[in-house]
Amino acid sequence: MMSPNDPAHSASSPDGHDAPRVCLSLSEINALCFKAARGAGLTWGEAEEAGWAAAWLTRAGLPGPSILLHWVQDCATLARPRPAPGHWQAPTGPLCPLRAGLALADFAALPEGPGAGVLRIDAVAHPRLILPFVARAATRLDLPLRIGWGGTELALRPAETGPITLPPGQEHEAPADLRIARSDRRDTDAIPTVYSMPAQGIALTDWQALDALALRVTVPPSDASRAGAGAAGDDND
Amino acid sequence: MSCESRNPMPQAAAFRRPPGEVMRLDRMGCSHPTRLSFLRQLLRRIEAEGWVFDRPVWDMDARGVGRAVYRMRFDGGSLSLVAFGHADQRSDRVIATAWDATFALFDGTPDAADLDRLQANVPLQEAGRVSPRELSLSRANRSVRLFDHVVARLAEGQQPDAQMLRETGYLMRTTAVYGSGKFGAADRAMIAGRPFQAEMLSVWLTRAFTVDLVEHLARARGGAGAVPLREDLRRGLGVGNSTGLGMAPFLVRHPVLLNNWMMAREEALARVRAQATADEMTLAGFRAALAAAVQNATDWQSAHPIQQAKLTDLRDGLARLERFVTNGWDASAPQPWDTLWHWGQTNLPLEAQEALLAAMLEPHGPLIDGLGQCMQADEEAHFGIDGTMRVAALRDILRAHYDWAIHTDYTDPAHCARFWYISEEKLEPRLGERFDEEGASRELPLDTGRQAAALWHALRDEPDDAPLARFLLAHPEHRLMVRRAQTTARHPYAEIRDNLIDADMLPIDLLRCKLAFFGATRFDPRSDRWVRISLYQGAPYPDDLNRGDAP
Repeated sequence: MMSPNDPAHSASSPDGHDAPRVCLSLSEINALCFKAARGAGLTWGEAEEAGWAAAWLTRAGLPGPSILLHWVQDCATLARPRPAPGHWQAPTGPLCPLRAGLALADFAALPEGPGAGVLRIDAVAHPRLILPFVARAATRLDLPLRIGWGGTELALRPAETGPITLPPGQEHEAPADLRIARSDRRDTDAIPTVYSMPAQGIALTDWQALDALALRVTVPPSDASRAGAGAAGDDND
Repeated sequence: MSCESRNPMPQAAAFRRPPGEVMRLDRMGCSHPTRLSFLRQLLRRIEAEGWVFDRPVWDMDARGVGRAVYRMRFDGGSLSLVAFGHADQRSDRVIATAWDATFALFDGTPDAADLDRLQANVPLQEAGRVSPRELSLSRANRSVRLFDHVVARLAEGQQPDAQMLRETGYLMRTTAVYGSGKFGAADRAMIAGRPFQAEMLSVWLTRAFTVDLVEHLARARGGAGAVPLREDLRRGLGVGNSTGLGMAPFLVRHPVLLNNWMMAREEALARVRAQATADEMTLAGFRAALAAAVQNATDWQSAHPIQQAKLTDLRDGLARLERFVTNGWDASAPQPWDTLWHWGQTNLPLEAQEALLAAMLEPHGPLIDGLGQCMQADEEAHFGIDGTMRVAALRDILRAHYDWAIHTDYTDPAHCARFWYISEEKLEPRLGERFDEEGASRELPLDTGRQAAALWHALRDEPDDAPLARFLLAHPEHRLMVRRAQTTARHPYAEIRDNLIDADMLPIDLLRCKLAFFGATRFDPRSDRWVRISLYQGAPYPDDLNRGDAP
């Protein structure tokens, strides 16, 4: 067993952490989810977006790391979006919310993107993960966007990531058909925004699962790597 | 840069050095601290705002084990360095498990319960968890030779050997200073608006702690016969730091921040060069700065051949510069600083050119100090990609800003000899040899030049008017580089314009650039990827500035 103050292994090691929930800073959440997404096989550019999205969700009062973890465990089975004006279909199965979200933000102000009329996106898995990208699209368009699925309806304003409340008791992980449309500015003020949970608490088990994925981007030690990291000679003085 | 719209001197833009000249590793690796460096900014701010220092807790035993609190009070709050002294065995590497002293910078004044909580976690460093009340976490080890010598001499009622003090320059060396958002610490320093202020404050207060500690131990050993450290010797001590590869990827991972640092420094140089005349007081300030640079180059020692050659360059160059300033430079002619700068470009090696830059900035505080406020970055605001940009526009960006990268043959082993990775064992960045070591399949995306070239080639068959949203949908593997290229188009100093996986790349060049922005001096590489530095040598102590009711 490691000594309790040996930091040389995974940060989420239970040694010294016996609480069921741990407080991570937003930058730690970003870095952890970035590496975990890369460890799960996403490209570096997509993984960066995943880290950013996890921190965004956490700041909005949603369980960002947990949402990320559940998505990333499914990620390999999810379909890529097919942007088309007005309606993005999902003929081969549920869409990946990260890739759909990225396309949504990338296509903002293009005919296939959100903004003109109602944009429908079919069968988006883990739909909460698309919220940061709807907010980014709103920022790119400089107008509020309204997103809804099932009993959930909320508006996201440009350059703003205030607290978000989702209806309790709702199944938030099942694939959902999304409706995205521009929203009247006055209209958005009616949306209640209250913190729904402690922003940065993360279950120890989630942390450990994400850490296990993050470890996949690391390289096991070798004599060469150990020798190359430090001083060529003795560093005492 | 975010401050562009408030720029009071648009005419200086014509004097700015181009990114292709500034953002090269060989020049970045010759960076010197300037008056815009973060520790200089912090000291100016403390003085201007009248921060008051005291030491409400000093609870140390005769071995230096115990705790102390160093507090700075200012309008609207306080910040406290909580220091724990230990007597454990330890190692000098970043990843060790015990240190001579550990520290946390606390937002406010810690009560006994806070101290107990910190005592349970801070000495564990990475393995402990701190809270959002803590702004930084750090640790330090004694300088083996100097620390004991100073304690022994002071205990005997004598001053330590001045030569030994000069050679080492510090009593303790920090091995890591973890800033915002590490191990549960606060995400954004509460003293926001300038980068690394919390970390710099922590190190400054640590310096005071190191001197207090040797004097305490000397008293414990020597009793009434012990003496305090003489003022001039005390002033010459800094805090040492050892920095390895962990810091190198930072500049690559934070392109907007890097741009803003570089832009502020380059704008400062441009403003000075754009001055029509030089008055006598400013000239006197410049000569004093030059004399200080010469003294610094004399005191600065290194055992590493790379740095020894640079030090020779620096000393020779500064000697030539002094002769020219005395005999050849007509400071009464129009735009004298620009004339001096051009002379330096022709006649000085890089080390001395960059030292000249620092000396030219020194007497121009009122002209340039405001630029310190432009060195923060809202990175999130620049994170999104513009998917409406057309392929032709991205090609133009690559031609304009990545010409250094896109024509290189990265299948040539010399141009891809290295790979950056995170070590599983230490969770720290490392640099591997691609053709000798395992692990390249887990390479970090620091191969910016190679990625730019790959993007350039991938765009070859795309229609000019296709939007990047369409390209990225088909090629998510280029997303990271498209983001960097768009960022660089808006922030010209964002990208290091050198191949970071080249066989000849020196990681210490990256470290030196970043550490110079902190305000570090006496760069002393211990290998091509590990450097020792000193912080705050010659600077005032907390009780020199605005003394409160300290015990």
